[in-house]
Amino acid sequence: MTGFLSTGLSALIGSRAALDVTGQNIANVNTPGYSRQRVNFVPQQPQQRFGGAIGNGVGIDGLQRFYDQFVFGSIVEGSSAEGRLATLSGYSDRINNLLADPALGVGPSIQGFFDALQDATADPASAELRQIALGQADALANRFNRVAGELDNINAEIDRNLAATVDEINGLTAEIADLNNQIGQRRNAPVPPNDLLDRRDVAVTELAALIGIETVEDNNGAINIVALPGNSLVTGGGANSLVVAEDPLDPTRQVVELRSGVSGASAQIEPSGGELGGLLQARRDLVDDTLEQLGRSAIALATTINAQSAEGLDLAGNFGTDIFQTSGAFAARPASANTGTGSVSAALADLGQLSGASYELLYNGSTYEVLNRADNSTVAFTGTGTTLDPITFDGVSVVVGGTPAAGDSFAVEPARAAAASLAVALDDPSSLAFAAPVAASSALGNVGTGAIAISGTTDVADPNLLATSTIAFIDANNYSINGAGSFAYTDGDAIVLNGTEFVISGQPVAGDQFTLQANNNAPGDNRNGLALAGLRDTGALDGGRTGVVQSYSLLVTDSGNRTRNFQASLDAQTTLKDAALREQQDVSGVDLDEEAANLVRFQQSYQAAAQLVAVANTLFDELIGAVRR
Amino acid sequence: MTRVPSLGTFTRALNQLTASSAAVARAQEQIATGRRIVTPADDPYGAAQVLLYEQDLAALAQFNRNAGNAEVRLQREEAALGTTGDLLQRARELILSANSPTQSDETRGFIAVELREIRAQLLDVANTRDGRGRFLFAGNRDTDPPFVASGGAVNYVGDQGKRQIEIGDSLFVDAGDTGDRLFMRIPRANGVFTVTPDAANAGTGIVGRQSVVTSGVYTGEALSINFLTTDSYEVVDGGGAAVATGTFTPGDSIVVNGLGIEIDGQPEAGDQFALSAAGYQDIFASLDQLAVALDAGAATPANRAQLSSTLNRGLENLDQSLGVVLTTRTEIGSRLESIDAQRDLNGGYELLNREALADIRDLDYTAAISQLSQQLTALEAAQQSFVRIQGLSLFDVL
Repeated sequence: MTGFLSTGLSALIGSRAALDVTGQNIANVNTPGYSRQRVNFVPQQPQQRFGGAIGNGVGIDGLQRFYDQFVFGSIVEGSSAEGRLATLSGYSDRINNLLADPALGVGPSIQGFFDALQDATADPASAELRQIALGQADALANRFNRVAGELDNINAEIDRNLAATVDEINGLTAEIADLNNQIGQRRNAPVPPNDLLDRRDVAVTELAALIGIETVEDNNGAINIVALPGNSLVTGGGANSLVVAEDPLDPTRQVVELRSGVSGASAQIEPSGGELGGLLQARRDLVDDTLEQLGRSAIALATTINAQSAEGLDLAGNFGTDIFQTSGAFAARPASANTGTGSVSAALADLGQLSGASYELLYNGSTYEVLNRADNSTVAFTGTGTTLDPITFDGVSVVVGGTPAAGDSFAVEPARAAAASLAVALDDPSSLAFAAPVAASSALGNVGTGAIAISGTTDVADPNLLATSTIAFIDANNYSINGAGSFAYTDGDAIVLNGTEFVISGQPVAGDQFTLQANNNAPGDNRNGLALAGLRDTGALDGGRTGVVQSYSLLVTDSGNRTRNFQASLDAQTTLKDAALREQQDVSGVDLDEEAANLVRFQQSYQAAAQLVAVANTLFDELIGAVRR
Repeated sequence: MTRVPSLGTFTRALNQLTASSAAVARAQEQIATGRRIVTPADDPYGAAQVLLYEQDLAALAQFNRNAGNAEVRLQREEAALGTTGDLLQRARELILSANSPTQSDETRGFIAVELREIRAQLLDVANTRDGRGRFLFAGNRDTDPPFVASGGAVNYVGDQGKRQIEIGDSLFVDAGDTGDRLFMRIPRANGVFTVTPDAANAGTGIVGRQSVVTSGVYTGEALSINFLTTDSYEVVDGGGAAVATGTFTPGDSIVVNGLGIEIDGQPEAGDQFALSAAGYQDIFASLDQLAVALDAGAATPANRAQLSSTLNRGLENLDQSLGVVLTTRTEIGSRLESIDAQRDLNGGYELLNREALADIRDLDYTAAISQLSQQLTALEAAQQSFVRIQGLSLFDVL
């Protein structure tokens, strides 16, 4: 009789538990990370009665948590990839819009500057046109500054985000370590710690979105977490924390270090996935790369324009000075951790080879090594670092002074700060050197048909460039220079004298004279102005294949390409992650219809179990009544 | 049997809705801007081409502006040279009339006054400015007047620099000529040689037409035609050696070293005519010489003969000057023509570039609008099905 009652009671308890779990499932239908549960029933140990084994009711064999470890693994992986790509895609989109924005981009203002130079060639003496050219130069420099400034702002934002992300990561790793502990303690308890497992999975998924990780479950049920490419974050109940610290190669920015929870020592790491990996990659591959390419354009502009300016004369008859300056170009500094006294300076060696990349110069006590900081690849170089024999690579020459110690390193950043520092070096419009240095003339009394034309300056440094030279024809076929010598004349041949190349054509006769002299007092001369304006399309970079305008177009195209690729990868990754989430939902998600059906089912079984108890009661009453009678 | 987890279904439906409305928003942005490529990421290759075409268009616009600048200068120059031609033509008429025997010293004086007036006007024209206030004929020294009168002569203080302007890719046009070529370096007489009667000549020999009979023989040496008697002469070179001798009848052409010299009137024995290479003389000096000669008067037949010779040479000088003006105006005409041609060409390129640009960057509205309406239909359908499906629950019927 008691067996019957206890069977009813166990059914009552079982149904009640099933109803509770169904309720829990319904209640948590929208809880992130919740895995649906089910009460597993087993028949109770039967008793030998009436010559057979009669069941003893129902028992609860634990709460089953619907969970698929492989699906969870792909969610973790997908979260890392998505976190990284979402960060990259976001920054690359911003940079793309920045470069392409007609109100911000550099392209139209480069055109504006060269247009102003072209306008000035129509009237080189005009103070207004010179002022406009200088104004356009200023506008162009400002445009470079503003775009570079925006990129610097993005870098500053990345620094702030690094710190915030590292805080979040530390919070999550501490939480996971704590959960590992609790789960370890309750591991063998009769009620499995399903809620803790769910909470830990949520924390791990959140962590994966922030940093690329690999998870390994140990025998105690603890999840050990390794940050990719291989730095332990959580081991059992202990966590190592991340910290942001000043970049030893660049005091203006932050890097991520891993601080051991045991020893307290910290070392720089390069996490590769998640938002943190995305931030580091965005800074390196997007912001810095764009800054460097922009800086390379600025250096090319300043270098070619200044070189051409130096070949001309200004309104006062002086050789042209620099029109642009890039004070931030070719920055070089020792790392903050250096122990030696080595100092370093960098300069332009060959514009055609300049890549724009930033470098790290390593000293091992006897020799140097040059690394490209974008990918840590080794860069071939020549030279030993002395003034006479500078270390030369990728169009940059580096001189090391002082005494570096073994293990010291130096940062060399040829182009990174060039665009931000581009400025106009002239303030007097009359100092724009639009005139060529030398003027040629034929004597008024010449009888022959000879004509002289200057074709260009071959050596602006020639000390006699501005000296007056007279070419006098001894007879129709020979001429003397400044009264000396006798040189054979060939119609149309180029002659180089004192750094100037010129051509005499036609048929001069004996006594005809031609003069080369300093082109003073020639405010209307536009020859150097034409040469300046012509630099718009002159190849200067990449061994002379890429002009200033093109280099900027390439940058815009690159940025567009990258943005498109990141967007496409992000879309693909999101699809993958959504598929994994769907799979996870298929296994672990709550189906309300199912729960509704279960509710009905368990309600019915509860009613039936209650009926069992009632029947037992009735039976008992019957028995008591029969005995009393 | 497949389970349908509620949260998963909801999230999936929501993602689809978001994707649909993002597509609608993008189509709307394209239609609003009229551009297929809103940012370079939409079509990086197309965006690169757009940049190239835009740069080309900007350069073409600048070339057209440059062409306009060159055109203004050349038109000014053309106008100035037109005036120069008119003045020289007037001077030529004056010289022709001055050479008439009906003129008196007084009327020749009037002509001299008018010639000086023409010379002054010519100096003004030579110091013409371009539209921007620069002196057109000064070469590169164009902020100061290039022609300066001093001590009765006119000096050119400009230089020989020619202004070039880029009107097409690496295509330059000369946007002017320098004053030395136009006004200063004018060949004298026929451009090869000139013959001047000696001031002390007593006869009435007038140097008439001078011509090159056989070209290439004369090499610029100085010669002197000396009349031994009224009907015989010898030609001596600079060293005094006789080069040729001959008999002379008035109106005859003396031919020596390939040159023909017509001498009208009757030279006296001992009269000399100096022959020299023509060389160059500026137009102001030529006009000045004529005015001085006309002012000097023609009191005697010998003086008249001298004057006639001078007027004959002066006429030739004016013709040379007119020749230079004419040649230069022809050159200017062809430069203006090439500017026009280049502008047409630039316009053609511009049109092609704009079409190519429109093809790449601009939106095909018909396609875009029909696509938008498709996307809207899809979005509405997704919204309606979302509401219907989310409304389905077993709980509703319990």
